[in-house]
Formats: sequence, C-alpha cells, structure tokens
Amino acid sequence: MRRIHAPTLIELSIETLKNEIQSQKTLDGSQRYALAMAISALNIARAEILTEPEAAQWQLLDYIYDDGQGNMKQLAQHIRSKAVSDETYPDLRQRLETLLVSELEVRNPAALKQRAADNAAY
Amino acid sequence: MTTASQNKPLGQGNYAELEKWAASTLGATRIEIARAERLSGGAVQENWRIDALVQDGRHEGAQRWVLRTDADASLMVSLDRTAEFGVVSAAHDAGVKVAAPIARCENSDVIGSQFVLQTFEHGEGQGRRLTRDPGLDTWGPAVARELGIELAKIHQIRATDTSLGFLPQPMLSPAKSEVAKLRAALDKAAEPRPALEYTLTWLNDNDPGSEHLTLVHGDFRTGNYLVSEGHLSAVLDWEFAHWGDPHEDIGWFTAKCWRFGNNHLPGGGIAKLADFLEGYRSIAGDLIDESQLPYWQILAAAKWAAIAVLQGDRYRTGGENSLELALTGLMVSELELEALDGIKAYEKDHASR
Repeated sequence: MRRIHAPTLIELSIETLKNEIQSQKTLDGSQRYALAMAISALNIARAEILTEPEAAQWQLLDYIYDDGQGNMKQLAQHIRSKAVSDETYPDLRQRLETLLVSELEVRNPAALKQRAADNAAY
Repeated sequence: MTTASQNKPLGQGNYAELEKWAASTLGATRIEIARAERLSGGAVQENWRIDALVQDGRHEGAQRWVLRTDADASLMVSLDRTAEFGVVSAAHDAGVKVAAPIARCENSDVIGSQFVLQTFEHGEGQGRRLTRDPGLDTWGPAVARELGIELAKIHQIRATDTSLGFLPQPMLSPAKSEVAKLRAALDKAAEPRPALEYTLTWLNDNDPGSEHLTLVHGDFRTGNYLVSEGHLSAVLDWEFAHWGDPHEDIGWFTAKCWRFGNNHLPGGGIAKLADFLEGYRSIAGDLIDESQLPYWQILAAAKWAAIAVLQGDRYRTGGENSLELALTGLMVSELELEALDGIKAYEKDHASR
C-alpha cells in the first residue's frame, strides 16, 4: 500500500499541472508562465519537506559562534564590520558556499547542475 | 524597500482627464484615446500602450504611445518617472535609440501618479524569447554590435551635462558608491544574507578605481531592449540611470545572471563578448579595460541578489500576495553563489599574474 502523505500529494499536484499544460493547447503565454511558476513552487515545497533546510545554517553559525549564541542577522552584521572575515575565520567563504549549495538543493537543483556543467566546460 | 503609489488603473473612467491633459500639453485641439492596453512585464513600472487620434499640433494624426507610470510598489533606488524622462531626453539628444520622449506629467491628479509619454517602438523584448530564438545565430552578433554602439553613446554623456544636474554625484568612488547603495537597501531587508554581505565587503576592498565618470544606464541587459527584424530598435527602462563607471553597465550586460542560460554567450546571452565590444569600441575607443569586467560582473550578481531580496520582501513584509515575487526572493542564493564563484575565479586569475 502506498502512503498518501504531503510529498506524495505535492508530487501528484506537479504531475497534474504538467499534464494540464501539455493537454490545454489554448493556454496563452502568461497562463503557461503562471502554471510553470506554480510547478516550481511545489517542487521547492516538496524538497523542503524532504530535507532539513536549516541544518547547514546551524553548521555555519556553530563554526563562528559558541553553541546557540549566533544568528544570521548577527553574522551578516559581523561580516560587514569585519569582526568576522577570512582572516579571523579562514574557512568562512567555503562555509558560506556550503550554505548556498544546501539552499539551492532545495530551491533550484537545476542551477547546481548548470554550475557543475559550466565549471567542467570552462 | 518599496513604496506604494496610489494609481488609478487606466481605463475609460479617466480617459477624459488624460485626453484633456495631453491635448493641452501637446498643443492639439482635441485628443481621443481609442484604446489603452497594459503591456506585460515591469515589476517596478507599469507600461500602457495608448492608441490616440490627435487633431492639430505637431503630433497630428493617429498616434501610438507608451504611457509609463509607477507600479503599485517601486524600488527606492529607482528614479521617479519625471527624472527618468530627463535621462531619456538626454539620451535621445545624444542619438541613442530610445522610445522618443513626448511629454511628462508631474501632476498626480490626472491618472493618480506621475507618468511620461513616449513613442511606441515595435520589437521583441522578452529576454527568454530572444535568447531562445531559433535565428539567434543570424541576428545575435549584429544586435550585440548595435548594443555596443548604443551603450558607447550613453557613456559619452558626462557629468558635466547640465541637463542632468538632478542626478546626484557619487560621494565615493563609483564602485564603493554602488556597494553603499546596496548596503543601505539591505539594512531595511527582512532576511539577513551573510553571503551577500561577504560579497559586498569583498567588492569594497577590491575596488579597481575609476578613470571616467559617465552616465550609466543601470539596467542595460537582455530583456531591456527591443529587437525588430534582426536589429535593435530601442533601449528601454532607464529608471536606474546614474553617474558611474562605464564598466558597470558592461559588467551587468555580460553577467552570467543575465544570459538566460546561454552561458557560452557572454554578450548578453545573444552573442560573443567580442561582437559587443567591437561595436562599443567603434565609438568609445579604449574607454574601458576588459580585464576589469570580472570585478563588475561580481558587482552585477550582488546587485541582482540585493534586488531579489527586496522583491521577496514585497511578499514577506509588503503585503503583496504574488507567487512571482516570492519565487524571486528565493533566487538570492543562486546569485550569491554566482558572486562567490566570481570572487574565487578573480582571485585565482590575479594570483597567477
């Protein structure tokens, strides 16, 4: 028996919308664009349910601050004031990159694939 | 952040006020608006196509115009419509291909907010359609050269041009001035972005310095010009114009984020960089140093990231229930990563010199 849970429902909704786009020949450009946006949003929602999107954020904050002491707003301010920099935290850029990659795994995995292809090509 | 305007939607209910204002401003005895249709695109501005019949005066006859006004929310960093009209007029006088300026209205009683009238120009403007066009290989290089020529004409307009005295002079170097603007915008943002702050700090520390202060279009990219029958017909969307470094426009035009997936075509996703620069240099000579472009491409990614943060905030805190705005807000990480990749490549390149 298959469980009908949130990711399944989202997946089925995505399939339904894709089928509608393909079968409804009368849809104009803006209607297709709106449906494509809805599919993107559902893909993001599904990925977010299946992952722990804040884990990478906590790993970054734990690298900079004592346990549970920092937050993203503070980190942004400290980077601007240079209290947190490559000099004080040599892995800073790499850690920020790791955070962005984890965000993109949820928000836009296709962009990561394109980045890998670009890096291989250039 | 954004500001709300109090637009009345353009419709037959306020045609009469618009007709009266236009007739008086353009020296016509009577103007009849046959049709007004909102054009697609324009998250910051609203554009309406107006079909009008003009009796007497220098615009006599059937006319097709574009009425450009603020959308419900506009970015604080953009020029208002009357200032934008001044910039378009200066560009038109300098021979740049633009939708010719006709008139501006600073009185918000006519349609609910300031607006400008310009000629309607034909052509395809959507970036995704242009960069996916099956004939791109044929027309892309020629249009890139034409874009280079037009941008070079824009960069011939200098801060000594008294007609643009309303544009503020940068207090810092052009690069640092742009960083300061983005930081000021992010100070009001709902979501903190440490990677974007990291990029802005790097940009400040690695400012290449500027030799020339010119008019900068500020949003010169594929999606903001029209192509008709294989040729450039007009450069659009001047609301981010300012005094700055000419490299800034070229960095923006060639940045990966504005190639619409055609990453192998740095000339705006439509052609090679060399095609664009050939046209640019035919007018501007050696005004720019190509080796500086990677720096300005990093600034471009940071700027687009900051704008995406602000667009996301229109959903998060601005009360606009738009899926498009929410999704734009989520694009930030992609742009931040593009900036960090750019920094890595820049440092690798400079270390090997």
